[in-house]
Amino acid sequence: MEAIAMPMRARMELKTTPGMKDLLQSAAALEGLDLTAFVISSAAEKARTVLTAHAQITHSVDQQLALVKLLSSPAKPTQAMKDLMNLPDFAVVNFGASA
Amino acid sequence: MTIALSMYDPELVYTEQKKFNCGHTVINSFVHNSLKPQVKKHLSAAYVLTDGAAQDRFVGFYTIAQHTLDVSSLSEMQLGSLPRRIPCSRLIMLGVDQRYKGQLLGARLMKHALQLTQTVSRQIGSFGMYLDADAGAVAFYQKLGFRMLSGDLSPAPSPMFIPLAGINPPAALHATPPQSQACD
Repeated sequence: MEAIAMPMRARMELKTTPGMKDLLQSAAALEGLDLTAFVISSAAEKARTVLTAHAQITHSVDQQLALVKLLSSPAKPTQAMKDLMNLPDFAVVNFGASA
Repeated sequence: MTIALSMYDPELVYTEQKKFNCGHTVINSFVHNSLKPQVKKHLSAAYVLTDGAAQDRFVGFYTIAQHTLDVSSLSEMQLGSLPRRIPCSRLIMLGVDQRYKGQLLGARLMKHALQLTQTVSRQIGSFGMYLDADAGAVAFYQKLGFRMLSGDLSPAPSPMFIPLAGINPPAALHATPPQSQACD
């Protein structure tokens, strides 16, 4: 893994209960990792899952089928949609210079 | 009207953003703690309503991102001409401060998000809008033409989708003739 060769310049400090530290240390020992490697690799795995879910959600086959059916024969705008789209637009402002 | 819309700028400090209260703890906590870093990291874009009569107080917002829905578990027959990954806009969160309820601000933010979805679709391609609806909001979205992808999952959020054809184009698109560009 390339990450191992990278200089570890960022620092994280964590506070937890003695019981939680004990739990994590025991699990790390079973996996043959030191506590830092165990905590970081577990958290990184979770972080990747969260980031992937942000960009792409995995749905069940039934849900996928429901989506494809919706797209194959899309309904026309409802009255509520027409009413909503007739609401007034907001005045637009621009704070700062970044826009 | 003193309420105005702007693109959320993570470099700015918004009056009373930390006091934002739409009555929903998850959304409140998102506005207080996560909105700024999320937009700063370009994970989503946010549009914010501010009240010009109250030092540009943070009044409401929504966050939106481009997204893909994976339908690759389906057969070619089921997919027809659709791609295996459906590009769409995803409405992530939308909220209006309780002090400003009853002014249709949430509905008008929704209109803005739907218009943005149409624009994005025209400019870079998209099949519609996806969202995970809160149990209390499912009926609102259903009336607008969103459909649940599975049964009502409340109290968990329910995945919902509206194809582009279900979003009616703003009247201006039909009514206004193309403007002739005068050269200076």
